[in-house]
Amino acid sequence: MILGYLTHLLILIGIYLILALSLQLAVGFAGLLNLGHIAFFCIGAYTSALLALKGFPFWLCFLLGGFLAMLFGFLLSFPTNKLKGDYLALATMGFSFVIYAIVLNWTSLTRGPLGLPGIPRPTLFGISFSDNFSFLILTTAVALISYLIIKKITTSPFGKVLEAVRDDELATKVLGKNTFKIKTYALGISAFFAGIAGSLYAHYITFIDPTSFTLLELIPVLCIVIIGGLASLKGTVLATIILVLLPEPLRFIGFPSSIIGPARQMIYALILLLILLYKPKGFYGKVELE
Amino acid sequence: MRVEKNNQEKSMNKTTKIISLLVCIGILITGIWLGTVKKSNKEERETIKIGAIFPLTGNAAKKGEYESQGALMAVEEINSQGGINGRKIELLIEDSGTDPKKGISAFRKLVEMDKVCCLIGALSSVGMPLKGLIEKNKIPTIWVSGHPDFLTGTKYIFRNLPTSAQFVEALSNFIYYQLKLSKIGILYMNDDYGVSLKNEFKKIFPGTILFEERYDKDGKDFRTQLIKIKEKNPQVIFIGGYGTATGILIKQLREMKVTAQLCGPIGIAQADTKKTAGSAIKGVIYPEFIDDSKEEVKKFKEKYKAKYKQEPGVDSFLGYNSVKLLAYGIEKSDLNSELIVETLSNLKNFKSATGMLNIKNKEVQYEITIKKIE
Repeated sequence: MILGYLTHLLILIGIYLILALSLQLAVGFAGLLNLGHIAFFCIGAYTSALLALKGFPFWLCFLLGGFLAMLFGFLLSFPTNKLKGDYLALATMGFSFVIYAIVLNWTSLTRGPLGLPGIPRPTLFGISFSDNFSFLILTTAVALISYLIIKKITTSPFGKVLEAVRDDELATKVLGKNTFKIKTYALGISAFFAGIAGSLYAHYITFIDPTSFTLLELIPVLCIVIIGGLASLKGTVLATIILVLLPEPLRFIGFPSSIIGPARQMIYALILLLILLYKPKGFYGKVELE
Repeated sequence: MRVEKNNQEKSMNKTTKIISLLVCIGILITGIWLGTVKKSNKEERETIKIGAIFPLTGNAAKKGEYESQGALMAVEEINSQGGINGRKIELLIEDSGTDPKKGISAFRKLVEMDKVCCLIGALSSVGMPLKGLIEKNKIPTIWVSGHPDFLTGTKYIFRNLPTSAQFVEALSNFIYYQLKLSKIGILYMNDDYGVSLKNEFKKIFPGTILFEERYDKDGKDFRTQLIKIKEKNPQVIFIGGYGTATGILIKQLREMKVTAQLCGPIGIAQADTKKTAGSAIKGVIYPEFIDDSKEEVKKFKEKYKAKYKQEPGVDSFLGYNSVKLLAYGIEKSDLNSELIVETLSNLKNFKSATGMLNIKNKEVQYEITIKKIE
């Protein structure tokens, strides 16, 4: 009965893949080092969970989770419009703290630190996705569609302009492109996909509380984006699979129980370091982080 | 940011492929190898496997350390006395890192690969998403969690931590029946914990409640609020809070010469509250479920110190008790999960590291004593 274990890991890969691809769009293609990405994930998860608990159908919760996150993505792009690099990273990090504080303190809506228990598993067109295997199919389908859409965006003329903004914003402006609009769209689309990943997460885990959406949770996703290589979707897929699966074999190494936690973390970190030492741009990276 | 040249990219791709392939193969081989090696081991079939999911990394790591040390101590003790019906116990500890996703991975691994018969664990945020899985797999579980919804709709789960309702009940009985004081005022912190304490207290206390005032979690000056309170002249003031703000509140109460007996939850005896309140905290009463004056507790502390070279925390006691309770259930019911649950549900006068234990409504009932801060 290893199947349930494997299914769980594959679902996690699916959810992380959507999240990482959406972050890749912002960081890799648009050059916006967005540390507020986890807040979009959080907004998607909470919106979807709260609506589902009120009895709304899954497809509506799922899409609204995405769209509300998108709205916040647009909103975030206004104050951060003129910021670049480290400054943008700091400002967006502030955004993630704000959302975390709201979720934690708006107790009448989100129940604060008590979290939201009993989020129902989705049903779509009369089909229930209550068992893990069918949920895996749903996640895979959503991940695949997300991949194709993001692929389409990045290879389209819009995607080329996006990369131009990343490489030289001034030059793009000189060519007559409205870079603010382009960056806003990129952030909005990226937020939408983070939101739907959040929705899937909430309905899979069936319990969410604010601790799942701290800045710390973003670090593995950022690792995936960087190790996969900036501006490479193929690399993101590969890195997602490797980084989600990597801690699992470590569970089977028989460490003495007194050092079990730290020892695994050290090995995990060591492997990441080795990869970055030999592949400073990640697996398929085309550009370097500035 | 600059686009690299094409030929360089190609050579990069090659090493990428090799590295990623090697990592994948490594993961597969170690996984399969270690999985099969464990299964073919004969001795393992004889042991009784208990799974444990503790936060060994992350911001609750200390809690996890205490829990696992306590649990391991119990396992060692049972095994040195010949195990359960001649079979040794093996405790398989997994890390949840305070993350619900990792908690589920750990659960799947323990239940599906290691085939554990019972489970112990800690933290509400990890336990809540596992509820459904535990019920589905029918794994008798003892969990350290204070979440009010933790036991709703479950059959196989037991809670191994006194709830705030139990603490408040003990405190209110002590004030009303032992101290014979009936005019009380409530001050509570404006967070979840404070509000739930106030609600519990209002529900239980038989005397008259003169006022309910809330105070800010980050407040520094409560004097204007306290003038009003002094006029009402309560015999006792219940302070539902913890941390620095609560310490300041107590200090200012005493500065304003409010002489009422002060009482509070277990959090009021925390180090930070004591530090900010200074000498004003003397005489405050609070409920406690680990009584230092008990023989069992003293013995446990000594043994623990000798083994781990540090003082046990509250969670060390809880981890130890979790294993002991499960071991008792297994001994009486021979690994049948339904029977284990039944045995544990009706458990009475069980000898543990903290004194006698009973289980009522799937909640481990600790003997709560009222302590005074000296």
